[in-house]
Amino acid sequence: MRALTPKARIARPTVAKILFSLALLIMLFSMDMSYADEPEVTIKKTDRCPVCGMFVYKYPKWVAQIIFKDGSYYFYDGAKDMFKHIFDTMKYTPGKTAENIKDIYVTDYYEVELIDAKSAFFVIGSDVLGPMGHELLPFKDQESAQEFLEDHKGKSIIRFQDVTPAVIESLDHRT
Amino acid sequence: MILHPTVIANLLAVYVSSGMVLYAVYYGVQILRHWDIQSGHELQLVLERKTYLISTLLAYVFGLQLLSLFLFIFTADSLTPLFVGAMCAAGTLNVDAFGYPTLALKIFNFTLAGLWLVLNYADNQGYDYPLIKKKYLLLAFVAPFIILESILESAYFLNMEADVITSCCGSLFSSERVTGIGSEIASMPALPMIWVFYGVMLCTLASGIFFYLNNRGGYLYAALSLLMFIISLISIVSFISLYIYELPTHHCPFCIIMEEYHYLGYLLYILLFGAVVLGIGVGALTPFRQVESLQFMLSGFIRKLALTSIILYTAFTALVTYEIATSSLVIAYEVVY
Repeated sequence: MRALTPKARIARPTVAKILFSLALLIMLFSMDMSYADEPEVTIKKTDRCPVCGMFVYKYPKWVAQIIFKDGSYYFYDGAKDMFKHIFDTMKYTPGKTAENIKDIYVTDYYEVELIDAKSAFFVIGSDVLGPMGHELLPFKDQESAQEFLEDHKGKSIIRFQDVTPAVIESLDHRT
Repeated sequence: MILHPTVIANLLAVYVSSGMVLYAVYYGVQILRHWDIQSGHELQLVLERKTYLISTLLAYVFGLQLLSLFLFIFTADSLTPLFVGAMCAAGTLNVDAFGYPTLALKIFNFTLAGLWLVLNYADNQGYDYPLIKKKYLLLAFVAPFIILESILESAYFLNMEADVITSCCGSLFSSERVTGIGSEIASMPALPMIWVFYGVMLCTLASGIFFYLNNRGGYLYAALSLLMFIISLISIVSFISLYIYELPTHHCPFCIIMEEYHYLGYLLYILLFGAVVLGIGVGALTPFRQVESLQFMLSGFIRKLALTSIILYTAFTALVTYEIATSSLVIAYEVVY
């Protein structure tokens, strides 16, 4: 009979080791599940920004959403592209108009949760860049917007109704 | 400079190509000047031996050249997350001024490399080196472009700065911007372009089949396949992309290579580039059909080239048509954004 070399003995996994790795695996899976339980917008892997074509799931921190009255909805990889869609709805989604928009959501930069865009405070001119470059950074209240503005060299805080095509244009052309 | 494995692979590939091509050109020039098959001179014997080494070497180098185009596009695509504003290879190529010139030159060199391989294969079939001077003349023509490519590509990768805000393909290939060739193509009306695409494709395939059956009109097929190649590239930006993305405003020719679109772009480009190289190869070999030592095989080889090119173009068209037919996007009227 062939003698068992020390090398072969090392290579053979013990029962304890197998059990340990199984336990690790189970722990990993349960961690994953606890993430899935958190309430979140369900962004499918196929959802794309209708303005720039980017896959939105890659940038969950920047998601914005518009829901139309007919139930259709669109995701954006930043508030900037969302505004572009509002200003020129017919171009990006033929057959739809801005009047048919029911709800508009943006992601609060600090809390990372969807908030109503019409009540949000947007900081512009800061040194924080989104996936599409210079952005409007949404916050749910004035205080956090002010705090962010001071921390990140922001220029001003504006409300939803203050955002005009000119503001969006200036973001695109900042260097 | 960004030290990414793919960047290093790209630079290695171009430097290996350039080095080998320089070595080959040195002997290529000697062959051009001193080759004389009748002579028994020592130099001629050395050259006869060398040509085997060089053509084997170049076959690999130009094979690498063909692959390196796709490696380059793959690299630009995989570096995307590093640059703000980039969502695909289009943005990465726009990071500095050398990205798009490098890509253009790589496409040009791809065609020349493919052509050289076709010529080399034909030359190796004759016992008396029938095309040897043409082969090395083409090599002498290609070499400066390969060197230039390695310079441009080095400049592109060395000038990459991670803090640059680049443009997303959504704006590079948009119909609103009036400047830039990408936008100019994107703003071309899609419906007439569909007609042009299918019309010229039909003519190209018809002329190819005519050549295959009658052995006449080789130059015409070569010219048409080059024309068809350019029209296809324009069509991808103008309307094919719209149907693949199912977005009325997204014209990018690079997003289609991404995983999310099942790497469809690679397949489209491989079919297209293969078709044009073989198509031009038909025209390049046609004048040598009368060469004595090639008489028996060359006609058959050219017809095979033509047939393969036709099949590739047909597959390309079938794939495009399938994408259009199964797309949920409908370009209904003349107003296309």
